Amino acid sequence: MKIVLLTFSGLLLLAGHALVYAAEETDPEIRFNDQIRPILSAYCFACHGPDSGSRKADLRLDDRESAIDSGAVSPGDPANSELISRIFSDDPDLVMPPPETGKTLSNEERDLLRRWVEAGADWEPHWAFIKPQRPKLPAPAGADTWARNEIDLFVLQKLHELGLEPNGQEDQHLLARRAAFDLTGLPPTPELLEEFFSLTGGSPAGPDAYEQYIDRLFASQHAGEHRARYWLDAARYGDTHGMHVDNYREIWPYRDWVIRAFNNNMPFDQFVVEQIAGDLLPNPSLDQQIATGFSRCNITTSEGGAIPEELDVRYMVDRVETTSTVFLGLTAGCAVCHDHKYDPLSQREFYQLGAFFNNTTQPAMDGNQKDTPPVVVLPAKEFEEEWNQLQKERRQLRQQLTELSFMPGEWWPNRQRDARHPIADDELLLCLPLTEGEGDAIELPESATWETEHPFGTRGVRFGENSEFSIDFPQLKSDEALTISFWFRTPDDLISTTLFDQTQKVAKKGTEDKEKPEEVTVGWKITSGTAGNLNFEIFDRSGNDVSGRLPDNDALKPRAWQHVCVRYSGGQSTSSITILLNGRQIALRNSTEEHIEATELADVPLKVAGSLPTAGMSDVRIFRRWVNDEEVQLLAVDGELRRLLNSDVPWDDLQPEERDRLDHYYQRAIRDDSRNLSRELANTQLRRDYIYSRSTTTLIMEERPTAPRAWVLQRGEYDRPVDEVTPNVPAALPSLPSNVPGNRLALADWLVDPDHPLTARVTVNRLWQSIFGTGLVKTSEDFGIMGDRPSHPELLDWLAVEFVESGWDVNHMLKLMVTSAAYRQSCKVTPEKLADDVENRLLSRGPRMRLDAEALRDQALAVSGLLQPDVGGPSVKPYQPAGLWNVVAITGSNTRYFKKDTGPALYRRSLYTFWKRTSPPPSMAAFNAPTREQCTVRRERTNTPLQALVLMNDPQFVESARFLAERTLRKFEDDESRAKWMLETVLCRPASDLDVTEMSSTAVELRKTFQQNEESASELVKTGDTTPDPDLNIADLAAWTMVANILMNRDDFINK
Amino acid sequence: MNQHPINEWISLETRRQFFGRAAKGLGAAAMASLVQHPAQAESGGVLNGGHFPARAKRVIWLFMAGAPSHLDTFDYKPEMVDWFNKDLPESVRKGQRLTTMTASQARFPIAPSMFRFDQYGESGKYVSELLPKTGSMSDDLAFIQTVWTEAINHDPAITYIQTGNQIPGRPTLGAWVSYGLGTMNRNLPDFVVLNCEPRGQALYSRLWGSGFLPSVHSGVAFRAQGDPVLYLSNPGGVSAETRRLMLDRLQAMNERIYDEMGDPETHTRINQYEMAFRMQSSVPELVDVSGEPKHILDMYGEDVLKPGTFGHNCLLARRMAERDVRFIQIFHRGWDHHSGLPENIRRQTKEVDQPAWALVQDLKRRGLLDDTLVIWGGEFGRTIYSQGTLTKTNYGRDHHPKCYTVWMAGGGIQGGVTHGLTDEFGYNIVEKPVHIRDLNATILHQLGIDHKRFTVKHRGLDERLTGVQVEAQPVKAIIS
Repeated sequence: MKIVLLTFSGLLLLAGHALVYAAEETDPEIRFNDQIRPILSAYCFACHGPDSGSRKADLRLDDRESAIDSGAVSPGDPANSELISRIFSDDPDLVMPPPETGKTLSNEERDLLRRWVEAGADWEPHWAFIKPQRPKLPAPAGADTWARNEIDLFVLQKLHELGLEPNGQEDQHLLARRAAFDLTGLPPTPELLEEFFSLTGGSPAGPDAYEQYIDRLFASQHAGEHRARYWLDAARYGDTHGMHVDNYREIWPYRDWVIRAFNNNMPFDQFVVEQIAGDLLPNPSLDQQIATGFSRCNITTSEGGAIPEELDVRYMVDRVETTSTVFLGLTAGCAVCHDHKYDPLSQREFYQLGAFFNNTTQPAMDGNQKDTPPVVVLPAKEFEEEWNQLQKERRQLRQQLTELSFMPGEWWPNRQRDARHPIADDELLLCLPLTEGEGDAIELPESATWETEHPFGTRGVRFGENSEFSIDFPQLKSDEALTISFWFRTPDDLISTTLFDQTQKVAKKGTEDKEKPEEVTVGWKITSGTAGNLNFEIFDRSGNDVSGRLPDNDALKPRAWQHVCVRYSGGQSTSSITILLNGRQIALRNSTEEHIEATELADVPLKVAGSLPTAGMSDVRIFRRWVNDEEVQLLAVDGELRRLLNSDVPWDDLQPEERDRLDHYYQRAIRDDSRNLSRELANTQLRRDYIYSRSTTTLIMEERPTAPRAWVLQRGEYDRPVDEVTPNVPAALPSLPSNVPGNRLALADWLVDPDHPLTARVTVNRLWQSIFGTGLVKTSEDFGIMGDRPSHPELLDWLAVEFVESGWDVNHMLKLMVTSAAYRQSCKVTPEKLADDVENRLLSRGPRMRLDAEALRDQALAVSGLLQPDVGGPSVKPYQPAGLWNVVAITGSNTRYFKKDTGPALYRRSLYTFWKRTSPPPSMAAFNAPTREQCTVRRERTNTPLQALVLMNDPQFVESARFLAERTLRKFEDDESRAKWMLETVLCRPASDLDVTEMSSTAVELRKTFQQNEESASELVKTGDTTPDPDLNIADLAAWTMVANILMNRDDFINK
Repeated sequence: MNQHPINEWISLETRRQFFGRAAKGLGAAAMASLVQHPAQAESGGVLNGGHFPARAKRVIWLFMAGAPSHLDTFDYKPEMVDWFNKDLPESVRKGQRLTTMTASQARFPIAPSMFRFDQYGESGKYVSELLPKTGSMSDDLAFIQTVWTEAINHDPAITYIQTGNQIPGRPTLGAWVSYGLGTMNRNLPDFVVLNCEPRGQALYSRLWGSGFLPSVHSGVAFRAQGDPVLYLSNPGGVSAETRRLMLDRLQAMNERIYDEMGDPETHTRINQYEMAFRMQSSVPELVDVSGEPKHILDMYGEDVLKPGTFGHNCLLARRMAERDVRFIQIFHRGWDHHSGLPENIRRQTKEVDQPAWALVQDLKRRGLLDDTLVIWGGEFGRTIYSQGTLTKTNYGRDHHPKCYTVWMAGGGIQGGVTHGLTDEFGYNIVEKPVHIRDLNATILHQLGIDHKRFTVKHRGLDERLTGVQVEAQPVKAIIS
């Protein structure tokens, strides 16, 4: 049979699909992608598709060559095609699909397959994998009078094909409101409306007036907020880690970056590159690093007992799924365990994609901390300059340290043998060797004995009953550094105990002069619990304290000597505390960052070893300075060092690790220049920590220096790696350029390559979905073989090409959509149109749908006048019923107790509402807001009684109603005017007479009720934090609050 | 509140009378829409009643979050007494992966249960002294001693048993059931969750989420504090009459909007507001236990009147079952006993033993147990070896996914059955393993659903609760 490649035909452009194979006798009625592929994917591909693992009889029908080679299909010859004979077979052992699948082909489907084979069995690649071409514009009849731009030509063409006509123009007020919601997520302001209608002179607007209005909406900073809101669903943005303890996570600067990007109409290709790989751009700016927060929004955990390798795989899988859903519109997740059953994505290719993301410096366990590294710091304004200076200084010091010349062992022959301290003893406040025969004699409790199991052969003290003793100790200050280093032998059974305690009760600051001053504890102490969770705590004089505690999985071990070092930098914050065990810093269980004031601490002796029977201690040293990490490491091996220094072993006979340790000691503790430099570096660290603990951080991506790689995992199980793979993209899509390193930057550039068939299509489709309610491809998350076919394929391709050629101009695309005639149609629907176009996929009317959760709340705030319009900043906690967090949270979670904000924070736009992922904002969840645990590109739009309860009863809606009523009552005296103004304010259009009459009579009726029961009235108007205007009549206000509540539940308020 | 005339009126009004008053405005809108959309007003699950006749109409799952020790409750291992503080043989552990909490432990010393086990009923089932009431109804229960899972930590494990997948995002069992079978009571949600007091391990709202199913199938978490259903109460000062007046005016306007716009969703919305209004009386009536006679209250134990306790929630569960709520799940927290197990499990079992017993008895005497499936269990089991301190009367147990016990009762389940066998260490399954997917398949089976045929297209796959790949099997052996 002859096959003709129609690559040069004009047909290609018309179809918008490249590479159409066709036989001479092509049956014009059969198109592979339209008719045949749906049958094959529904009935055959599960066993005879791309998945090599589940493929039966080694037959694949998604690939023409394989199908022909195996004899399943003989083009033009159905009688000799196994596929055809099997589907027509009566023999239950032969017939396909096999009876046990429960699937049966219809007669039409069988016949179609037969005719298709007869006609030559053309295959087409899946439409979405073919680069879109700009299709020829259709020229439907009537276009000249109706169409406003290219979109309309495609829409009208399709309507005509199905014998439908578009609706007439929408009412201008409704249109203005619709456009304002679609572009800013808010109703139009009265000023904007006034301007719009003054441009039109009150008559149906000319093209200019509407376009100017649209431009004004784009210019609003709320436009970027609104666009960002959709993106944050896709990016799975949240303010907590999302799993288990679900602590606070600080990443809101990423959210603000997204808002800025949209407000600046950042070209979408740049938007993608900075988010996927901003850190890998040359000299990345702070903003470009913040943008990489996109890949840090996935949920993480620090659950005790979790296995890091397993988590690393989870995070990688999530990043691949998100990237693939958001940019490729492909459901990669299936390929975690096996080759994709329908789309050309093998399991190997999945992990090749994974490799791009598998090279981060991020730890698997998030530490339940807000700033799981890697992060960037956004120093508070007042520290910005100092911060940058510090960073520079620290770089220089590190550089100088590496530049010092040093010969290993050069100092050994001339060593000082009896070095008293391995580290400088300045600011050493207390030195208690607590080893028999060393140091000054002190009075120990009687029950104390000497212990010989101490490492390095020295003898530490072992305590018996009544172990506590006191030592004179200077008064410290909370803004000074403090380091406590000691050897500790844990008790036989871990018990709750106090190791060091210099606290006292004092009058609380500000209450000293009162008759009965409030008592608070001031000072510091080190305690330990039954799980070995050593805890350092420091208290100021105002009742605040900060503490650092060892976590369960890194706690003290029972019955063992260990070196403990607790440090406090003087930074007056939780993060000023560090604890090192045996010289190794332990990530502390700090849930929130607390601060204390600068103050004098306790003026009492230091109590040591309170109730520590069977425990032991030695070599206690307390410094009024920050002892740096390296010094601590030296303290932790002090006994060992002294043994070596006092020995006569020649340098070359020492063990390599002993030589390293000694050289390290010499450089950090003995040699002046290096010791001073490292001390200086340590001092800058203190200031750095001080600023850090008062600054915002945000999670970013950062590459390890090694080349990225991943492993194919058998059945997706983390502990069953099969093959190592390097980063690559699926073979069915364009390939990566060969001359660039295979990293995230290469992936990002590849995604936005103008030749990429998917990114532009998937993106314009999501924009379309946000405006028209449903995407041209309804399954906006799945452009694969099992996804829906586009309703207007040519239009989708036209938009995709336009998008790329416009320089990835998002606002240009949105403007095309909202200025189209299709968009500006009336949204009225007749039963006939409902029958022919039930979901409005054909655009036979304007879009009308329920507003999203955020828009509903923002609208109530906006029309009432409560909305606080600031852009950006930390997330806020508006009203939420009590106890919702507590009922799910684990003890110790820092998001266990919800504390409502006060003041303006209650009235911010909803995208700033704090998103706790294990218990998302309830009033938004009721309106289909996702949990943000994983990527969501399409929200449901349900209609439930719980939604009615929110809009009727949620305090934030009731308060809005009351606030609107107050404004109304202050403006107008008579009920008719009040009703009219309120209706117009709420609905952004002139009120009908009937509505006005009805609402004013309702107000009269309600007023009577509330006059009879003023107590109820006052209770109602009390709802919310704002105080009702005392000058207003309370029954009047209550009545109008209820009228506003009615209006804010109207169907045309809830819908756009 | 129940005495208020309007509530009385609401509860007395039959549907016919309700719409008969259309002339007064009340319900006119609602009636119009119901006439036009009868399907929406009735139950309507996608399965049209299920694949085969159901043995259970509803489910009550008593979920013990944090994972109770099977070794101290239902899986009797008398031989272990001689193994006190001896190392768990490597031949038993077989390199099984451990949580990182005990993976570095130098020894795995065996901690025999310190609790006495007694035999109960005709079946002679051994149950620990911690659960005497549960033991006393052994002949009504089927104990599956060989439930297992792959997940070894709480968050993934509880997500797994609830949704069939360790990774968040899938619908929960209750949501699947609501989606498949629809509603039996238009005035209450199909899937209700009752949380007990916060303690120990976390819960997550995803545990009653609808995943990729329509969100109307999400569980509604009833609250012990404030409104039982979020935003149920009118704002302060707004009476039921005021709300009714507000709704009448609203619905009249919405009718006009419908006339103008023709959007069928407007009518659905009118219905939903009426349903919300009905819930404002049906839910308070449901959670008001003041009419329960003393002998019933006594059955459920001393905490029965304290909202948020397991006892109170069990009573509410019964009231919900009576009102045909389809799927009820109680989460009782605080079972994660890594250390100090004996002391902690005493408190836990004391809280659940009597109310769980009372629930089964109460359902039984009302004839509801026949078609109500009751389930008791957690997300995994616990190790025979001790974590941390081990004495004869104090020990802890780490997570153990390889076997644990779940009991079921009612809803076509055979009583007095013990299914499956674990080894003498309660560590490995010897016979009849029941994966948590099998457990879920069994629950669906009792509801008349073939889990294999209960699929929903999502992202190109025929997703099901029991996973797209692995074949789960209902445990037919425990079905009566």
